[in-house]
Amino acid sequence: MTARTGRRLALWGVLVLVIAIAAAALGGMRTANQVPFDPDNPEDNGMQALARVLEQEGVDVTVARGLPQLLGAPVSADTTVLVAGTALVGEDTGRRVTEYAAGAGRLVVLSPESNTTEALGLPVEGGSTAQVGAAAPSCDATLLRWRDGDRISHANRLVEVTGESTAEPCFPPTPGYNAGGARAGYLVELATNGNRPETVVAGIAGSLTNQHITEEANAAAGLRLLGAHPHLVWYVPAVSDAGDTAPQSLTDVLPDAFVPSVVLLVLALLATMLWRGRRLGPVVVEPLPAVIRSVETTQSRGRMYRRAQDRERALASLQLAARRRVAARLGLPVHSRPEQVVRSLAEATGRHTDELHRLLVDPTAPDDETLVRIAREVRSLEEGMIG
Amino acid sequence: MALSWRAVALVLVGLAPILQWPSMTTVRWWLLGCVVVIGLDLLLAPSPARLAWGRSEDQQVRLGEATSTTLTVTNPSRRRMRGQVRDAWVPSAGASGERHTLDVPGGERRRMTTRLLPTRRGDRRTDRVTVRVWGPLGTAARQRSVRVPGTVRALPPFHSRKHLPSRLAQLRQLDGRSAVRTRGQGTEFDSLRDYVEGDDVRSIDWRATARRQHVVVRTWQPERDRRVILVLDTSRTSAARIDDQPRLDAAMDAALLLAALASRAGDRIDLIAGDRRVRGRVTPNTDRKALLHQLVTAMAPIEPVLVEADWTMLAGRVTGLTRRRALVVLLTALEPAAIEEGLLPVLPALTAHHRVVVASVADPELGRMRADLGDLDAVYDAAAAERTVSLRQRTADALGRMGVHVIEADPDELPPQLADHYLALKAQGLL
Repeated sequence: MTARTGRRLALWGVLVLVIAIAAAALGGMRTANQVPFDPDNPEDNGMQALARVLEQEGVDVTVARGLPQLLGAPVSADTTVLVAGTALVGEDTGRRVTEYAAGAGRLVVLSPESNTTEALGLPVEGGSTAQVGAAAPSCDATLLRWRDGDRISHANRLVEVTGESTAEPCFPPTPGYNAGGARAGYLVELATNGNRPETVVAGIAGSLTNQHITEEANAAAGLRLLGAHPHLVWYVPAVSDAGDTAPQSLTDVLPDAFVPSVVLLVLALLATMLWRGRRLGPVVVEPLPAVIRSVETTQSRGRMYRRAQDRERALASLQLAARRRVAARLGLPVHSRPEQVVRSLAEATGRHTDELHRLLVDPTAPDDETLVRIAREVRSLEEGMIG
Repeated sequence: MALSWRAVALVLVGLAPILQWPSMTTVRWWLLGCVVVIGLDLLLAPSPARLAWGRSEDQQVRLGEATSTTLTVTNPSRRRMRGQVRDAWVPSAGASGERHTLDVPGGERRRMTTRLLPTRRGDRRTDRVTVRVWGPLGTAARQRSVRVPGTVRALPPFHSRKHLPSRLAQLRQLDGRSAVRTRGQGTEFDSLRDYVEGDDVRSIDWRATARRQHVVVRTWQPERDRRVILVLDTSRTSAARIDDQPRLDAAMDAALLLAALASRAGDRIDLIAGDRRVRGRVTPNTDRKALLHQLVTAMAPIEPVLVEADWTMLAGRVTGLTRRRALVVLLTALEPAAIEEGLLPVLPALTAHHRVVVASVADPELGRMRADLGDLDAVYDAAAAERTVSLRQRTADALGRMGVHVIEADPDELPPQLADHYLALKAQGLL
């Protein structure tokens, strides 16, 4: 493997690593669950707190997001089925949820909307009156055995009973609310009949959210509602459950010709790659000669001087060469002694021997600036001789 | 095989039936149809293996000059062949217009010419000739590569020939062909003629003058038929690059100028190029014009080899050439280590019989490094350059003590300096 292919492989390796890290970071940054009434939503409008407490109390919580997951979850007589909000439950979905819940031990419908009657076939209707203050049970319901002290705050939906006298409304907005014949409350209990288990329609979803569950007796109400059976199927309706028809994939909404066209274009792309990728003959390689620069050894020697900071050797080399040239110019033998060169030069130029000795013979250079300065002075001395 | 844009277009046309019958089945059928059509086209394409190839004779060209090579393709079949041809050469052959259109009717022959402008000295070879022949629909082609060998030989450029006229003029002065005949020690007596103003009075032949009543001078001609042996070192030191050309190429330039000059002067030239073995060899030739051609042809394919020169062998070759005294020019590098260990031990054997000149190509970069004192790094470099120069000087001195003349000059300067030294030797009759 040549160094070139090695570098290329390393580059690819780094690229893959970067992509992997970026993917991991993006995955980690994915926003937390924000679906209202979702048991994994840690925000104010979620119900993670309630779900965790139920799990700690030994209830097996199965989360079903969307109808297909719900229908895939096992159901039996010791199972509570929770429908967390009916806003997204369409008629078709509602029917299938009802069929599914028929085998359960208890059906809890949280936050019923006005479609509850049509969608789930229950004799109740969700209103929109929300209440911040606490409401007392004030009912004779037997299912959940409310006591007078059980007060619930932050209920968000008033449930009106539209038929069926067995329905038992609890937690009216005001203690005397039902006195005039109205039958409404924040929580309505429906006794079991042929095709539904015991059912609780509760407009107290707001009370059970992470934000308000710790207030009043909200937590107790939640546990009592959902903790009656060892299994809990927590159905969070998905957007796709709202339609009347079965869930659709992306391909269903695209034109029929889309997918075949894309496949054909991909094939055309492959053909283009074959067309453009085929070379007219192989690449020709040049038998290259060895490339060695002639000054390489000299440059390496310079680098060695520099790394060793051998100023004396460098300066001595410059001075020796300068002495030779000076000697040649003065008509002295090339290998004259340094002192003789200095003496003759002093006679010729009138400069002091000590100074010339410092420039041409003495190789001491305590620091870099001195080295450069002496080197330049030697050079100007030589140039002065020419001029 | 190869596809064309038509194959892609054929696949894309499938969008129409898909819009008509939008389903994957349509795609499958269309794909099948495309494969069948392209496959049939490929099967029906004439076989490129049937083409017969030929190439024009190998060319020789001076480096830097253009030439061309011609491919001949014959179609012996009855079917017309259309397609493309690529005449591939190594990149340094400088081929341009190497892609040709092939359109040969059955039984006919076509020529394709590729221009070549070599960028490096030496033998530059062909690679393969690739031919692509399209099927009747032009969607798919059969492709095949064949070897049609060929070479273009890039000869040394001989840039220094610009110095030849002035050196020849000097030679003519020595030779006595010009108006003013000069006289030197190393000249041979030629003839007598009348004195004209400007002649050297020392060349007056008094005895002849006494006989002839007017002043007569002797004329001289330089020695002829001396032997000049050029030894071209192709070892590792010749591979080093100086101004982006190997030292060997600059040495060749110097050798060519000297050879051209010496052959005009009537001397005989030998060339030995080698390192551990002899890589090129030219023996003296009576035909002066052919000599230069022989030299460049012998030099062209020589490449530097990364081994140490075997000077014992090379010196042995030189001494084996002649017993007469000769001028031996060693074109090598003044590398202290290589010279001291390889050349110095065998030099005495050479200098005993011959006049030896060592010609080395210097690196101008070294001079630039010496001159630059710009900053600290430059000063260290300058010191290193001075050290290199002084080591080389020491080697040159050692060579000088053994009676060897050393010429070290930049690539441009070496050929004229070597020629001048030869002329000086000639004038002094030291050959």
